[in-house]
Amino acid sequence: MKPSVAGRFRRCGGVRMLIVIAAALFYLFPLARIFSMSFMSAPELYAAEPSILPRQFTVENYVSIFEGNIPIFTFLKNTVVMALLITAVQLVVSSITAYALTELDLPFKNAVFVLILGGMMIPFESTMLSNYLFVAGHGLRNSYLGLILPFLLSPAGVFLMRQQFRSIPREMVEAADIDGCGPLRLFARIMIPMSSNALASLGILSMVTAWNQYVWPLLVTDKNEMRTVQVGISMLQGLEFSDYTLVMAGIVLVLLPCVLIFIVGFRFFVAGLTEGAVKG
Amino acid sequence: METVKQQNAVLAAPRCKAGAWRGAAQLLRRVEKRLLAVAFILPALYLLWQFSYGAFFQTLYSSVHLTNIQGIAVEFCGLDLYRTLLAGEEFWNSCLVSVEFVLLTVLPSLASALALAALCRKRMPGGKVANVLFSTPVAVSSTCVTMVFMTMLEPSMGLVNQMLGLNWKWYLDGGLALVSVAMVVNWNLIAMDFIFLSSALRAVPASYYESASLDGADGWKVFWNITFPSVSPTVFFLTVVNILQTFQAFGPINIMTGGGPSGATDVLSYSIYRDAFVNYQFSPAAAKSVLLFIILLGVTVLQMRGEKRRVFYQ
Amino acid sequence: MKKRILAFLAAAVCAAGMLAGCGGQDANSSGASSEGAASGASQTTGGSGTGSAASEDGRVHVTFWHAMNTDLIPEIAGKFNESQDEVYVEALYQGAYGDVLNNFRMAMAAGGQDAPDIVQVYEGGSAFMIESGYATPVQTYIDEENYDLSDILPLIRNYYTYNGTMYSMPFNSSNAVLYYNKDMFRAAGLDPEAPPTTFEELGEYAKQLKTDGVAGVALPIDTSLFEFNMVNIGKEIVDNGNGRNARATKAVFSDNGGGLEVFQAYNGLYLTGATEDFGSDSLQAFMGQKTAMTISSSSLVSTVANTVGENFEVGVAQMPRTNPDVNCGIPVGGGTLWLANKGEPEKERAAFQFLKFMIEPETQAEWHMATGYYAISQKAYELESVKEFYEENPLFEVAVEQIMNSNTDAVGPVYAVNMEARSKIQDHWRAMMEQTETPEEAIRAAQDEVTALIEQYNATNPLP
Repeated sequence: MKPSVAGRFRRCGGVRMLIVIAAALFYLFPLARIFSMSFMSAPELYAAEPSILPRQFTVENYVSIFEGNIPIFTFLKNTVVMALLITAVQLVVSSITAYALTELDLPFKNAVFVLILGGMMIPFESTMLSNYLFVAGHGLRNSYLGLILPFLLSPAGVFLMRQQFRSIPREMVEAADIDGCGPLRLFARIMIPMSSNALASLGILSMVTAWNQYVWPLLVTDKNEMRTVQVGISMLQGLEFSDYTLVMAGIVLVLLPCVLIFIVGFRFFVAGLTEGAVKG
Repeated sequence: METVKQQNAVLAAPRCKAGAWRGAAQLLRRVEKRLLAVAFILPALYLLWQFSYGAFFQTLYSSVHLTNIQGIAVEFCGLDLYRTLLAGEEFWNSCLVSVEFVLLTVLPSLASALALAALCRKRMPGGKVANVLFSTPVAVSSTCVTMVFMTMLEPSMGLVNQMLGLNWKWYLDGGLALVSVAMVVNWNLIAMDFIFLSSALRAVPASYYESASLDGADGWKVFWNITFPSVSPTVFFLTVVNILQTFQAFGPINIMTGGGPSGATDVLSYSIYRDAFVNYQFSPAAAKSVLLFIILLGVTVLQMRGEKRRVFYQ
Repeated sequence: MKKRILAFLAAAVCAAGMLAGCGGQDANSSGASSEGAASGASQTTGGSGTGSAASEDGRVHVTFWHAMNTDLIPEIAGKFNESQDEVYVEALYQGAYGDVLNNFRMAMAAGGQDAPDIVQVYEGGSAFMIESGYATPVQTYIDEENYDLSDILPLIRNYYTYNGTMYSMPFNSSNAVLYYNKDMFRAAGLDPEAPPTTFEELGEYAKQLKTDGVAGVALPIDTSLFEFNMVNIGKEIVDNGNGRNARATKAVFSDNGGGLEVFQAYNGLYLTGATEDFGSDSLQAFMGQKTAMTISSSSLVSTVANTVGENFEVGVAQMPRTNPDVNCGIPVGGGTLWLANKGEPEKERAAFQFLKFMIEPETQAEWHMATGYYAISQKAYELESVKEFYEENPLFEVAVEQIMNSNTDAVGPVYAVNMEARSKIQDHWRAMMEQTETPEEAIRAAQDEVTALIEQYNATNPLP
């Protein structure tokens, strides 16, 4: 009896599941810790016997964030808008640029590609002042355009899409060519639908990177109406010393919408693209 | 190749009318491809110039001048700044620490992410949940992650010491500081790599695996013969991008260690940040930025060379 | 297909646009309502805040960037806006001290039209503000209005006066104090009401307090403490009167023997074996009961009290002296308020009205009791509310006593490269702690490096 149970267990991936669960517990411990700390009081964090779960569960941290002067919903809305705009433009620019670098008739392809990748190698300290001068000079401080402009091109995105387009089987491209399919139709009907997974990954990356911007939004905004959530979290930190439990509550509030957006939003996105591939 | 095609088109022309049409159509196609290429590359080139390289030329200019407290170049000094940097200990220490840091982040995160993605590839109960869970850490900003890790590693009240019965100083200790910062960066990187690798794995046709299991290949063989080659373009992409990112990650270092103790975490990007934004030493910061750019360019070009041998495209 | 993708992208942009649209409305409505609300000072209608000095409502609009993430600053600004109808101040949180100064620097480099009219700068950034020419000295308007500064604590007044000119208005000031665990004192048989007053005593106490897993004292390696110690024994860091009579030309802290005295005092403590290095986490170690004593900023008194809660009883004492026979006092840390030099005297004049409000006794009393910074107005301490407050919160009085007992000329150094110099001194301090350099070697090397920095700075920034 016993061996057959073990065998069945192994056959339906039981061992693998156990490993996955163990890995998840270990890897996601910090995440759990954020939640747990957000329901603690500051003295409990510093008690002689530290606790993993809050001993005296309190929602005081959340209450004080909502009662405070930080307009958290305005910040969330601003961040969603900013991140969506950056993601949308980055997806388009990355795809067309990568297409030009692979299928189209572009001279000096490799040199141009290295030039684009080089954009990732310039330290932000170099570009920050000049970008600020550009944005401020055009009166774009405290505007969405000012928030997004320096991030519209993602060299990593171009790189990823280039890898992706090169992975598409040549037979498909050639078949389309023989069918008299023009370069624009090839792009829209074959290359893009075949790249749904890569586009989705890139979208998540763009979204999350934009979501987590701090230095730039702080520099180009000085009005609460245009600020973003990461600036909001910095407002919860103390002057010389932070009340970590309060900050963790802020992190939870910022984290939840972000996770929701990328889980729900991108499922639809991938579904749409894949459907396109089947039909096309 | 192209000219041969053209000749064929020309030769074919007198033979039949349709051939002439085809030749004209092909010419049109080529013009279209060229025009489209230009139209598609222009936005990227504009953005690149306006928001990256334009500024970088300013940096090049600053790096051969001495600047005053306002950051204005006052005196040409040739390559003096570079000479001083290359002759000093600080710069070489930063380079060494940067390389260590990259090794401590890129290798472990790629390996763990690949392992996790391979584990989650096959259907299993709760597989979708696991996929979401392993991706979630990417959504926590590195500033926040750093703070969480600091509370956990804190030598006096941190959970890690308490749970493991250790008395380590983690980020306050010269020997452990870099490892502590690397842990923070790894935590974010693993999730990012996981997202890319698991989506690449999803794209591998199931038939590959089916034929392998018919052949009776065991887990390791399947991994090395099928899984890894199929995702090698993604692995290559992640290696290049992760190296570029971690070479320039200074946020966690700024919060956790401030480059210390005694330069143990003084990576190149942090020392540029400190020069430019704390000490207002603009021209040394510019010279370091140029050197960092050259290093990264070199590393990336080397990787591109290696790509031809190790990466498999379909 | 293509349509789906286009639809998705269009939807993303539309969603963003719609959210942005209602954002605009939100901003307008909240701005409109805040005109009447006392606490709404941080919100006004959108727009860049530039343009002519006087706006539609006939008031001069002034912007104020600060680094204090507390609701109190907008509240104070709101009270100021209620109190008169000439000037309207908008207080905007702009990140931590470092962020504020960097953002200000870039706004000034971009021509200044987006820079605030008032900016709060930490003490370490004072030299940058003076040397860069980005600020108009408040002295200009003090003279113009014949404003009486005698209510400001004399030490603080002197601290922010350089070469006879007061550059910025003091606002939030703190100093360093000794935090100690009274419960541990009792357990070790020490009198919790008689904390150590000198470094020698500190060492003896530390030895008695040290137990398994608990250090006697945690000493942060922080050059501002070194500067405090130097002022305390009446020795200078740089020449030309600590850089206050004229621009500094070299470091002197080794030559005058002061630096060695201070380093030896610290080294003496390290040699007791009862210290432990928790670096910048010294205060956390104290709150987590891993050390019986530590030295930290007085502005954290209320934070420490709240965080420790009922875990143990906190004691606060004056910072111990390195030399038992000399006590010149302990100088000032914290931040001050600067007028941005944007070539708009009207705005500067209006901004100066707000600066005066910020140092009024009532404002300072409120600030003192809510934070831990001491009040810089002498009259604030005579207010009934403050006296009552001390009866319940005696810990707050320690820093005040310390500043009151200090010589009025116990002022620290001012020199442009101070931030970098601080890290150089810290490096050698650490080397001494790790016993890889003797105090003599450490202090000599530190002085040489700081002098090199000063010389290099003076060469690229010639005086006009």
